[in-house]
Amino acid sequence: MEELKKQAKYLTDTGIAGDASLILVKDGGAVKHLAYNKDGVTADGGDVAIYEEILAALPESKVLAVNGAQFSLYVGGTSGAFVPAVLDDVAQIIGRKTYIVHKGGDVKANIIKYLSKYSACIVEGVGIVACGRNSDEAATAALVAEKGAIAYAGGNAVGKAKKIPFLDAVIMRFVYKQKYSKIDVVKEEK
Amino acid sequence: MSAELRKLIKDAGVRLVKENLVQGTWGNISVRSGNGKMLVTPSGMDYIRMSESDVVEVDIETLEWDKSGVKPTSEKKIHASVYRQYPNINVVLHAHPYFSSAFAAAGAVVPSAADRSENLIALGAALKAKAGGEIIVGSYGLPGTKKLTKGVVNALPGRKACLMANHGLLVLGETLEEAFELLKAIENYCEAVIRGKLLILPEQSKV
Repeated sequence: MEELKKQAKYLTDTGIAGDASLILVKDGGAVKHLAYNKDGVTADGGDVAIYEEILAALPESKVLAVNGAQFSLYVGGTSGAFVPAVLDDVAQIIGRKTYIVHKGGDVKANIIKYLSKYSACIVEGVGIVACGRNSDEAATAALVAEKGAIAYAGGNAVGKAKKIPFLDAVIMRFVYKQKYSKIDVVKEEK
Repeated sequence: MSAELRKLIKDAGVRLVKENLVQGTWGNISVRSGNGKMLVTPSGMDYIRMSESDVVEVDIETLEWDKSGVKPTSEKKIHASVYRQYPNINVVLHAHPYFSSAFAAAGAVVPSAADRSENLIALGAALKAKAGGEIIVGSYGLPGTKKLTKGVVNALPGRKACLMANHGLLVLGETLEEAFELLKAIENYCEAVIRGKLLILPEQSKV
């Protein structure tokens, strides 16, 4: 629980907690969760059960981070099927596209579909849902997803946000999954 | 001296993370350490877990380092080129702050021509004076490549900062504090412009 509080505080301090956030972690056969917002820990986690089901459906992930981040909410309500990566770290850590799950469809199934392949997606009316093998990975994915949303929306507000070239994005994602994921796992095991 | 500079770098890394000026293991920091060398952050290591002994000493001319230790940042060429060209500069911060990165994604210059509000024009003018000129965007290149280094080298002359296309922000300083002040000033300006354009106010905490 202390680790969850620490991660929640970190994400709050970085400004992406918004009005409703949640962090869930697999713990043996159970799932622990912590609800919070920009003002601190809260009692109301909203529909925790749906996020427990989503986490259960992601065997490679141990942690799910849900964040009501401002610009992800904005982009989730104003954009189409995805936000293209216009920053190279977004392409590396999340992928060429950050997919958006809109209301009206099978929200749970669509979140599971995207998080099975990518470390974060944007959900209309919710913000970011990110996953990871540990809380650092999930938090990083959440922070990068919000940055991607700001870069896309903000970049287009001050000019024209340019997409990362296809091949560059694929190379960076491949290198990241091969190299940096292993470094983090090694440190975790220490 | 080296121990002090290593601590400075470690503390700077933690500050970059805590102020959300980098995410994950991205970004890098260097300090000129004397005798033609620089101290740089290691490659692929997060700043919270990084120890002072993980900071790597690299030769500014040859880019050589002690291969028995950890690998230095893949952006060491950029840091070295700055120290070679600007003898008064002792610190280089390569960060990935949210709103500056949006300008970098759009190839947009700071101060922005997109905003005409009086207070932002004044803020932009002050920032331009602090940075030594308009902060322009260096041409695109993948991280660690000669192309990215060339983009930075061409975008810096006469200025203490440049944006890196689709990537982030590079800031120079005679001291670490000067570099951080400029970094924060650029980020604050970029945030103000973007929030103004999108009409998204900063969140207010009730605490």
